[in-house]
Amino acid sequence: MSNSELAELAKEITDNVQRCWKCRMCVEMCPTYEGWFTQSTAGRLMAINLYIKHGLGSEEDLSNMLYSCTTCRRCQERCRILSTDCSPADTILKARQYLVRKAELKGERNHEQIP
Amino acid sequence: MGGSIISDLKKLVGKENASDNIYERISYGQDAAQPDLEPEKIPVAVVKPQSTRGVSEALKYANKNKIPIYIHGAGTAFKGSPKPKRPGSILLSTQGLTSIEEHEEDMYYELGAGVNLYKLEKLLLSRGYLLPMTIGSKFSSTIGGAVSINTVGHMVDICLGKIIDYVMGVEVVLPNGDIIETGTRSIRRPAGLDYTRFFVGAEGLFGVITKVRFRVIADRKKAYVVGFFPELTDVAHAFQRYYREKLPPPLYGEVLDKVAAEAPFRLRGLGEPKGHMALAITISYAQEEADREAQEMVRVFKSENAIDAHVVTSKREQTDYWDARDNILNILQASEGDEKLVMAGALESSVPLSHLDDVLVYLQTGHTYRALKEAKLFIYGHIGTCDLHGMWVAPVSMPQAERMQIAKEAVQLEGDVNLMWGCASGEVGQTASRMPFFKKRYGMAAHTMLMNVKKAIDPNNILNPGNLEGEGYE
Repeated sequence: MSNSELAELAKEITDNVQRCWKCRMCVEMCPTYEGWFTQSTAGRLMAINLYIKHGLGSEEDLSNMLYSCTTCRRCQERCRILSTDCSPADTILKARQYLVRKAELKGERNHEQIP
Repeated sequence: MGGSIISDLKKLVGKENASDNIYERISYGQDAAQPDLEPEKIPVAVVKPQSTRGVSEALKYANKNKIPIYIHGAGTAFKGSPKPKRPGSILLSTQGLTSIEEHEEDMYYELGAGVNLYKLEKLLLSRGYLLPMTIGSKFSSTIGGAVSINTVGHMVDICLGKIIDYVMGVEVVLPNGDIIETGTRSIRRPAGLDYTRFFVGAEGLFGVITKVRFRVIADRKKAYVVGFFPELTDVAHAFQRYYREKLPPPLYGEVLDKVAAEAPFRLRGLGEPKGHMALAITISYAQEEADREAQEMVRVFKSENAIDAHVVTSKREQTDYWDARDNILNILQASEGDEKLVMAGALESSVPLSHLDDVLVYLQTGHTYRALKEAKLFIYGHIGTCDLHGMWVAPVSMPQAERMQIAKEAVQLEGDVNLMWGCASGEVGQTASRMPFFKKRYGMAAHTMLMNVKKAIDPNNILNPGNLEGEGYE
């Protein structure tokens, strides 16, 4: 993957996140949610945006959050039926891909992060 | 300073209940419709006490050190009230307060502020009770947030009343950390000084509600009505006529414009809407009575040009129509060419009954705001309680500056509507982003009075500071 392809992937991800309305209907129902916002889908989406768009937070924190998602896709269905259909589960998977590709480009591929 | 605050807070509320993670701090620092958060206003810590005592310790600490503290239920507020306005703040979430005590013999439940509304609704229904509120964000929002705003959401206020009518008392932590209780355990409210009212609907200005003594009411029988109209103003005329005829207020009276109805209709396989959609639910203790009121509603709809109006008896049809209305964000699933849409501006106003039609016309064609005229407008709302919404949307690729202009004009238009027709928000609160309007509508003498009350209760102005001042929204 080239730098421009990585930038394209980043745009696709952040455009999806931008469609998230922060209605938070995916928070309480997330199986990994134990009271902290970043343990839920909406929290993961916000973190993705903060990292990719604004360079905030650490890659390690973001990676841990992304890989704690069970990819059960309940949030994706709820968002489609009740909200803006911003494809949250797909976006989380794409963000995982983004981190891996980014590391590859930097020559720092971390095999532990590959599912 | 930030480092010492987080370690102090961890000691006070437990290390698992405090965080200085940047992602948590920013996520909790935002709310549903106010996503912008200036970097210097990102809170230094988030705390999530699991008990009233923990809330009290956090407030005592903030008060002693004069640290601003912002209170956050589920973060679904629309007008920026939980968003930090001042740098160096603590953000306190009440979501850890989830206790539920049943006192059915005295017709109430004592609820922790963090109890989720959807779970509460299901629990009450299973016991034969009706939760007298329908908040659009019920899947995530909390009873503490709803009581702080005193909103029943989509329901018609004059049917079953507002939340204050059900709150027999509250437990509150004052800005200095003192814990007080208000109200009664009787179904009869205190006569005279009833200072529960200082906190219900106060938007967290005077204290943090930690428990709510909530009166329960028996579930009612319901009947469902749908109507489709050629013009939006026909829907307004139908509800004006309904009340003019002195018919019993319905539990719900909703409107969804034809364009807004298209996406949710498609999603549910309902085809094209026949016109602008109106929905109503009538209620009574007896099914026959609810059915009779529904027939009256159908008659009124037809007398105001409805293309089609009928009582909806099929459960499937009821669910489809009501889901189409309740899941209003589905309208953002419509696309503009190849592009998906995002919300750029929004309006909510509860207007006088006799001007429902005038406001609908004004929203569509009566104003001169350029960016709003160029954006796509969806109109919907709780027309049975005279509460109208407008949502202006834009393609996701629209530059941020243009979207901000739409947002700004929507706020101005909302203020214009409220000033022209002498009204205010009936659903999502009055402080924070709405303070500039508040000052115009009620005048500086009223604002100064409220500031003085706030100062008397919170002399260091640590609790949600900037919300009553309207900081950042002038």
